[in-house]
Amino acid sequence: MTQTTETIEESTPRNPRPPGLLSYALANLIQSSGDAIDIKRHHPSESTKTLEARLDSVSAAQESGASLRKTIKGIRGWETALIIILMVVFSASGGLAAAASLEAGDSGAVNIFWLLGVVLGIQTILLVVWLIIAIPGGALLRRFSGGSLMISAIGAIARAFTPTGSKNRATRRRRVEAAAAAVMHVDFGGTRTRWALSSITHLGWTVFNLGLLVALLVILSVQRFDFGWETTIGTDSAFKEAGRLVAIAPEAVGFPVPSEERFAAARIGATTNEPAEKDPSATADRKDFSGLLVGSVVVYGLAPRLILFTFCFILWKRATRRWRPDTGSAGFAPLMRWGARSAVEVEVVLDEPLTTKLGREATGSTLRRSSGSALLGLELEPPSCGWPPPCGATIIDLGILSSREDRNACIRRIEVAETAPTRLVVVVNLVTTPDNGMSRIVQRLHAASDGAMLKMVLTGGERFRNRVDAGALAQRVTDWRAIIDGPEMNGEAVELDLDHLTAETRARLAEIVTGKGRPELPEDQGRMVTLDAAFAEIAVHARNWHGAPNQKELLALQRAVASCAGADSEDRLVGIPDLTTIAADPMAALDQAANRMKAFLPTDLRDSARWCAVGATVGTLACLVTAGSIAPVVLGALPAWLATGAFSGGVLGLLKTNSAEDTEMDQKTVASIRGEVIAAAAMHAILLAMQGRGERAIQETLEQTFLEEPPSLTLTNDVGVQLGIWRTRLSHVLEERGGR
Amino acid sequence: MTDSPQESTLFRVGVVGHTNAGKTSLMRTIARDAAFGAVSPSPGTTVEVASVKLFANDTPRADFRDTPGLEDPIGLLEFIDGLRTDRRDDGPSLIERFLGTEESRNLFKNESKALRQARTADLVLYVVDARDRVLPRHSDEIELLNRCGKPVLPVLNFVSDAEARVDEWRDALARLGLHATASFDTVIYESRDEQRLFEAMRVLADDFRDDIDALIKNLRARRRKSIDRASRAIAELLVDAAAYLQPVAPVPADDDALRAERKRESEQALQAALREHERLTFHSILAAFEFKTEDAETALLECTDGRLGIDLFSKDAIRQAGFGAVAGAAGGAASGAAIDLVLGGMSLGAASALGALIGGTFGSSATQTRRLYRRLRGANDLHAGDLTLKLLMSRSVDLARAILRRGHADEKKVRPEAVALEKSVLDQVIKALKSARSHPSWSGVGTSPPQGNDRERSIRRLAALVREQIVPKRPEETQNG
Repeated sequence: MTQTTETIEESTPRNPRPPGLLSYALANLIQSSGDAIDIKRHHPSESTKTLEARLDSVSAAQESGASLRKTIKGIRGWETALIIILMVVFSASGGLAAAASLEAGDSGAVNIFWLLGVVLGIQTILLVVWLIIAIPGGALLRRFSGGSLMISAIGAIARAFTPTGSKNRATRRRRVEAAAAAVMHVDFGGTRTRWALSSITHLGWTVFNLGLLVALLVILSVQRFDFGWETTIGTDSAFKEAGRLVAIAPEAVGFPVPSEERFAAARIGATTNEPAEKDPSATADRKDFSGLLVGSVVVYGLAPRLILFTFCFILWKRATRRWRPDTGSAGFAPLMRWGARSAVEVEVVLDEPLTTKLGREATGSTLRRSSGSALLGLELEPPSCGWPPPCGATIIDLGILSSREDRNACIRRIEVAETAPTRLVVVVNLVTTPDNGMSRIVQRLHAASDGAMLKMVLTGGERFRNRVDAGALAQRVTDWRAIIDGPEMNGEAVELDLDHLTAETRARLAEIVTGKGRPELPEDQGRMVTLDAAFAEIAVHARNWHGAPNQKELLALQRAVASCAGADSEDRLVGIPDLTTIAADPMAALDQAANRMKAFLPTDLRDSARWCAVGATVGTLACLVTAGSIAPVVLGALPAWLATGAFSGGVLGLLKTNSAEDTEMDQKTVASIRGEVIAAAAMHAILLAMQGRGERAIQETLEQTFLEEPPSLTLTNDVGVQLGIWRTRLSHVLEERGGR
Repeated sequence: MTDSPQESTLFRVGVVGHTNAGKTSLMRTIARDAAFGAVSPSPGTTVEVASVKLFANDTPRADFRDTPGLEDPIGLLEFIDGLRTDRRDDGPSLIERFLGTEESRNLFKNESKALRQARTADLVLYVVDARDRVLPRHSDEIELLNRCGKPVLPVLNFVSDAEARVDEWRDALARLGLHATASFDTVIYESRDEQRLFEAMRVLADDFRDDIDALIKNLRARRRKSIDRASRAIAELLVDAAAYLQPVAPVPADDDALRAERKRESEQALQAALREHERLTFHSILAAFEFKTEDAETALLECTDGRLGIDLFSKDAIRQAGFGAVAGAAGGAASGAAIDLVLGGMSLGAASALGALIGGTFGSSATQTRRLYRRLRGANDLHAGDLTLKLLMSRSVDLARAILRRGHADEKKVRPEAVALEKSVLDQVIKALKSARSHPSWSGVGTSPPQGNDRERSIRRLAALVREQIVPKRPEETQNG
């Protein structure tokens, strides 16, 4: 994984231009290396304004960034050297072209049209080709930027920089490739391709023309040439006109050119036989023709190329300056963490200096006789069982306290009573935060009741659990316990869900309120009997399956389990939507039920994909059982719900099939699915038997009962054995917990 | 802290409320910083005042101050009432008197920090957990804030929760004289709600209208940019994956076992490369929505029981993305690989093949030539199958949609809703990726992202398609073009 460690801002060598190039190279490297890059925390200085500069600053602070900077410098140097070599070659070519073309023919004169054609013709044709290719959009040139030439160039650079046998070659090569791709893209990619290639081309021809010019001047200075022209199939008038036109521009810039008459006289074969050496006009002719030649090279060769080079170079550099990296690409993500200027600025505002904490409020009280138990609720919504909750004992009901007036009246009532309560039972909702306000009122109540034995009932666990995860619920319970845990109060907090009051909860509440021990309930003896009955039903149903159970068989099993526990639609599993909710939106209800049971699993079991599937199955089936009379509607919604893919796993897939033959599965899959179905049924039975206890108690019980992955069950006997193992574990767990 | 002259003119907003109402969560979402402050179910998590300055166009426009929770408003109001010495004492003077007492520094130290900020703020955001019942302590809190003499804007948090009692709260607040309220769920993010919050602030703090307008404009621009960046990242992933070729080493014609072995090795290599590329793209998507990359692995994506924990090449992933029909016969599909058909003319076309043979210098012909050459030598290439590309599209769009609606205060791991991308959309995607298929040089899988205008055009076209999936156009937008 990409790691982050912190570095401090320090002065670094100048980053390569344009801004963003270094970070772009590093982003390339990150993308090609994945986890291997260690990105250190780095905050660019405030003076670094642009995003690119900030990203570069972050990149430069990285170890890889520093080496990339060197690589980029090396590639740029290599690039420059290559261009220089190219220019030397062009220049030499110019010189050679001059030497090769300045050759007198049989007549002893150099054909001026042939000479101009050789030195200017090819480059003029190429100039026209360039105009066609580059100016109307440069589409062909742009293909270079993403084509094989670019890739080959990057590959060549990578090979050149990482010769075989070099240390850490693979890593180094990746780095060079990242840098080369960045440099090549920034310098030659995208819209810059046209102007980069044009600049290099025009510079090449400029240098060529310079070489040509220098060579011409040197040769013409040290050798004497006569110039003329001739034609075989053309007309003289056409050549004379061409000569006149060619001479216009050089003459205009001050080069000596032959007059029309002299040009006409230079027709090879039409001149006098007088030796040229002795003809004074011949010397002037040579100078004029040399002027025409040199002037043509300057005006038609050098000047346009130089102008075009300057033009293209300016546009190239401008395009390069305007280049911005695509910071949305994958490789930039870790750099943006530190490089992007935040739209926010965070600081801690120091307030008044803290002083020592004031001790608890002084709590004075007079000694009174004490008797009975008092029960009150704090900021509580009356539980569904009503207030006061039925606990089978006589209690002093102090009501539910919400406002300042309620609290003061209650405290006054306790203080003025002839007898203080022996036990003070405070019911609070786990949704409420146990803050200082709560802590203070509990302290005041406790003090007012002459330090009565304090008991706290934590209700609303399921509601709070709907908002948060199991960890947050456990933390909330701990925080509430901390309020009454001090030596002054030494209270005890018990988690009981008064919204889902059962015989079990009532017995526990009675025990807390009266302090006379937990009353024996028929359910206590019956619980294990009920579970045994449910487990027996599971074994019987499993015996009748052929392969994996189908939808009908699954539902029949769950109904039997629910029936054993005496559960019906009125006494449904905690967290399963009620009938109205299911009828209103069966798909949403199925989703809620499956999610609820999945979330109900202890943390250890939630880490297992198979237990998650089992949990979701329990929820789904419990929802279907609850649906009862509207089951067809819910069953109709099943395929669509399963198709959403919200829950996967073969076991839920069975619900789509009406018969086992509909699904073709190998023996291994069948055994695995049977195991999950049995586990789901067993879990359903245990959950039904333990309803009304605190969620944590149920979770811990499940965690200690289901220790391993759901088994793969092939034989009927295996089912019995597995159920027996779970049954034994459950007995031990309940015994250890004292039946709680 | 002493404010500089520049800061003293900055629009200051005090964020106050009962402990655990979601003040720090609100700050996190507004600041787009999941690491701001600390959030926990325990009381007194925030013990100091923390400031967040919001910028627009590099200029600070507002200073939001997170405060410790009002833990004992009932006790505090009782105490402050006890400080009244004259019936003409008004609220602010009572609060000032309280702030001067010893109790404000110890017994009510958290409350005093909150009230001190409320006193100096230009506007007070009173955050309430809309899931809670309206209790007398809430009216005491409002009474305390009213006594600070500053405009109060109640912000109903967690309004998307099924338990939220929005109407009950609005009614109760109206009874207490607070008719302007804002709803803003810090966990399930709605950009419209955030904008409405700022608009409501503008109504109550008219002096800072320009600053708030700039912030609203900035909010819209950031959202647009985020969606564009995520769309582009997904489009790039698809083009990279479609263009990617995994070579299969040549084997003697009669050695079927070795051939199968080589193919299997190449399949695994292709899968590993695409998995890694998908992971990097997920990071880009998260970064696009200003979620921190280092948070991604630990807090957002690493969900073993969630959808993103499912391997790209597993049957479960195929089934979950709604490709159930093919999942049954997905033995081959799950490998995600298909043999490259360069010689069949199916991916190149005769003209291109001829061009490759001639060995032209432009475009990707040289690469095509190499492919052709490899095939002639008996070697194969593998590429990602259409199903894999559809999966990549579905999973990334799914993530982008989930992140788009995720507040920075949400501490739960990403659990996107099931994808139900239309078949026609996926077919369009596959069609749009045809050109990428025939250009292996376009692939940035495991290498630096290649550049080129044809690739760029392809990505842009695809990004537009992806964008429509992340944020479907509303009917009125479609009608208006």
